[in-house]
Formats: sequence, structure tokens, C-alpha cells
Amino acid sequence: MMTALPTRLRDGDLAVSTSGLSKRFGDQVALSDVSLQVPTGAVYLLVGPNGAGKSTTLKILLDLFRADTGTAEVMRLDCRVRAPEVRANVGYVPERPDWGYSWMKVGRLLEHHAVYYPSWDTSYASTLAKKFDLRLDRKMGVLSKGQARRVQLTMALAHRPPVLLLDEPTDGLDPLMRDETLGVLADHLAETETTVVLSTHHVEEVERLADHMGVLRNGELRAQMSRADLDAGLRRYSVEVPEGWAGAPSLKGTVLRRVAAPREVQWTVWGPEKDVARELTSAGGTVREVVPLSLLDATLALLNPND
Amino acid sequence: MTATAFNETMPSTLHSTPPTQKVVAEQFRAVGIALRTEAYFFIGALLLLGAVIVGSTIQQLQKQPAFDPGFTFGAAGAIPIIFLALFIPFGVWRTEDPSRRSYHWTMPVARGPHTIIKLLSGWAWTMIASVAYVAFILVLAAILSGISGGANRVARGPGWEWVVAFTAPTLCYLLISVAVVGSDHAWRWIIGVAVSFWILMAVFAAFHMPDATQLLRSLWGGTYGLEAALVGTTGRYVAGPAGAVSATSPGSWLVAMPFWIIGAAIATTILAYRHRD
Repeated sequence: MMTALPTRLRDGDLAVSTSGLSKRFGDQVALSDVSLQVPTGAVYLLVGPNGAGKSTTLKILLDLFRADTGTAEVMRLDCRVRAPEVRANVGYVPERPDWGYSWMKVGRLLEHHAVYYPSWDTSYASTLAKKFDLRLDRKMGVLSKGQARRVQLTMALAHRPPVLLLDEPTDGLDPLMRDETLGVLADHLAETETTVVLSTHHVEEVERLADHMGVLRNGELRAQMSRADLDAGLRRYSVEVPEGWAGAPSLKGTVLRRVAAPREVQWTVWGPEKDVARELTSAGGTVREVVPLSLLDATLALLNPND
Repeated sequence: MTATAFNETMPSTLHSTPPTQKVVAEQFRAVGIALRTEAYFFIGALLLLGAVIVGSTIQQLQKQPAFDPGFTFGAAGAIPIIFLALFIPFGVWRTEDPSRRSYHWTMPVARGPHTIIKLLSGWAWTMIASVAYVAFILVLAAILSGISGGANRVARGPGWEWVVAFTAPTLCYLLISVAVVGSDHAWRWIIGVAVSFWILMAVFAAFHMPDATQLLRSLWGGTYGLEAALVGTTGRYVAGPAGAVSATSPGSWLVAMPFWIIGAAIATTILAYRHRD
């Protein structure tokens, strides 16, 4: 029994897609043959360890970086050929907090940003500024990381773009503001038809928001699937095993994580539950419990470097 | 492109890019804000200079009531505005060296034209500073003439020397912009080029290579060198009432100035259109 992790979604309308995207920085491979598929209206969680290629992927979508090979599209627009149109349709929160003119006051920066986006919703910008408690009279350069992040979120959301590219959007925020930000994001998604590509290390925060997931590791897209497929295909099996149990060789390649306790092994396995349980049983184990995984546990399992 | 093809590739919900004239106007305003520090410094320096000149003239008049300040304007009078133009590109791209220019580049405008718009905004402010400087010279001359009772001779010089007050800062702005737009370490490049120039001069002199020395020297002080392009001087000296003075050549200036300005503009444009990751 061997079910590979899926790296392609079923056909459908895609808001963001890449095909065979590769990028090197000198000798270092940043991306290798990455084919991302983000359905329209999805909240797509892009996870991976530091240096996996998440930020590079987002920057290629904005034509900040150029791929060595492969193509990228946002709203069916080629990211390289029609970059200004792509950027007009994207709200971007970068990883770096020093994005934006540090010498400009927050209020003036929002006015500046508004000029570039004809769809800028001034009253919504004011609402966001109040919710995020922005101090419009302060210069960007003196803001804390969290304050700068809130300004950037306002800039990304206030023109109600069809696509949001959020690179660590809650990084630097205190727990209270993190909660507020996620609430604002949820409200925004309820009010505005938006596709979100979200990169974050705080996976547990977006448990309720994310409905698709892509896993990058060492620049390769290791898995890509909907939450429904993830929930259905990835389970943790608690197995009571006899002394000196040799394991279940037929599950090789599908076991993502294994935690051993005396006489019991917890296996996180990708595959149809019935098939996995049957294999474990036929190998001599007794399946005691099968549970679906939280998004965080699923992420940890999918990123497990030992597999 | 047919309407059908357009509809196939452009979802109806797409947002549009901003009108160019709005971007130009906004960049002009934004660059104006960015240059406030330089503007305050320049205004302060002019006021101080004006106060010193007027003060010393008044002092002289108290000693010699018949004193005539004889205030005139020549091409070399553009040096203060040239000096200001050295710093303007740094103000235009404040905190935005190429590796930190992602905010500018994430705007929904093509990168090359957007960079050019910003450069032109900086140049427009440089020209405004030049106008202000010329106005300052004219006002200062009028004040000096008024308090001394002498003739106002400031506007009697050759017309091209007034044009220098606009072309010289333009050239200076463009040359510095080449370094600022193209490199994260603009000062290193500027100082590096200057130091290399003098080192090469010394090396050529030490090894008795007059042709190489002359070639290099002509870049700065030759008939069509940078000095000629800036203020019309070509390294030659002529006798003046108070000793030898640098000779100006409107002919050299007229050829060198557009040559250098076009060259610098081409270099800046190439760098503006270069895609940097």
C-alpha cells in the first residue's frame, strides 16, 4: 500500500497558479519545479520551514523576483508580462516590517498608497485604521514591528483586492492584536470575495480560516491539498503493538510521523483510513484509536524531515 | 487584441492600474516631502549667505561710503546649487537603496517607468531649487544695489551663464542618480570613482605616461570634460583684474553639456529598467 502525498488539486478555477517554478540564488536552490494551485476564493496556507521558498514564491507572483524557469499567474494574468495589473489586484503584506517609506507619516503613507489603487475604499481604510489603532501622525520609521505590520495590513486590505498575499501577517503582533487581526481578516473575507495565500509559522492561528494547504520544503512542493482531503487522508493511529514489533513494511512511504511509547506506537499516516488500519492489523498491531489531526499537527507531520 | 480574447484573459472583477498623471502628481508630492530636510538646509544656507554678504556690505559702506559691491553672476555662481544637487538623489531615494526598494516596486506601475517618474520628480524639485536660487541672487543683487546706491550689474553677464544654474545641477543630479539608482552603496561608488581618478593620475605621472595623464585629465578639465559641461571652464587660465582666473568657454559648454547630460540620462534609464531581484 503506497499513497503518495498529493501535489495537484482537482481541476477548477484558479486565482493563483504557478507551473514548474524554479529559482536559484547563486548555488542555493530556492525553488524547484513548484506548481502551486490556489482555487478562487480559497484561503491557501503555505507552510514550510525558514528558507523553504515561501517568501520567494510570493515575490515571484509580484514580479519582485523573477523565476529562472516556469510561469506564474494571478487572476489569469502572467506575473512577469502583466506585472502592474497583477499588483493592482493584489494586497501584499511582506515579511519585512520596514516596507513603506520610513520618513513618511502613517496617514500620509495611506494617502500615497490610495493614489495607486483606484479601488481604494477610504471609509474602509478609516475603519481599519481605528480597529488597528493606527497612529496616523507618527512616522513609519519609529513604529514597532507590530505597529508597522498593522499599517501594512491596512494598506493591503483597504483596496479590497481579489487576491491577498500575506507573508507572516501576524508576525510581531501581541496576542491581543493578533486575535484582532485575524478577526479583521475573517470579517474581510466574509465581506469581500478574496483569495488568500498566507504564509505563517503560527499555523494554529489560521486553523479556522485555511481551507487549502501547500507544503514547501527545501524549495520543493511536498504536498498540496484541500483541507477536506487533508482531514480525510491524514490520521493519527494509536496502535498497541507486541514486544519487538517489526512495524508495517507495507506502509513505507506513507508514514509521516512516529511517536513510540511502551507497547504503543502513534503513527501519523497518509492514506485511506480503512486501508491503513487493515495494514497495521495484518502486521500484528491492534489499532486502538484513529483521530484526525489539527492543522498544526498536520503541518508538523508533513514537514517532518525524518520522512 | 479582440474583445473576445480580452474577455477570455481578463476576469471582469479585475481592478485597474492607476492613471499615469495621478502617479506623476503623487510622486512629485511624495518626493517633495522626502526632500524637506535638504530644502530646509538649503534655505538656511542661502539665508545665512545672504545675511553675511549684506552684513559685510553694510560694514564696508560704513568704512567707505562710496563702496560698490559690484555684485555679478557668472557660471561659477552655480556652485552652491551644484552642491545641493549632489545630495538630492539621496533624498529622493531616502531609505530606498535597490535592496530595500520593494515598496516602490510593489506598486501597480511598471518598474522602469515608475523609477523614471520618481527620478523626474526629483529633477523637477532640483529645477525648483535652481529657480529659487536664481531668484535669491536677483533679490540679493537688488538689496546690495539699494543699500549701496550703486548700479545693479547682476544681469549684465552672458545669458548662457544663467542657464548653467539649471544645466549644471541637472547634470550633477543625473550623475549621482546613476550611483543611487544602481547601487546599494552609492557613496562608495562616488568616492571610489574620485579616488581611482586621482590614484590613476598619480600612477601615470609616476611612470611618466603623459598621454595617459592627459587623456584622464581631459575627462575632468578637457575641452569637453565634466568641468566644461558643468560650468564651461576648461582648465585654462586667463589674466583677470585680481590675478589669473579660470577661462570660460561657451562653445565647449554648449557641446559638452548636452553630451554629458544625455550620457548620464541614458545610464540612469538603463539602470531604472534593469530588473533586480
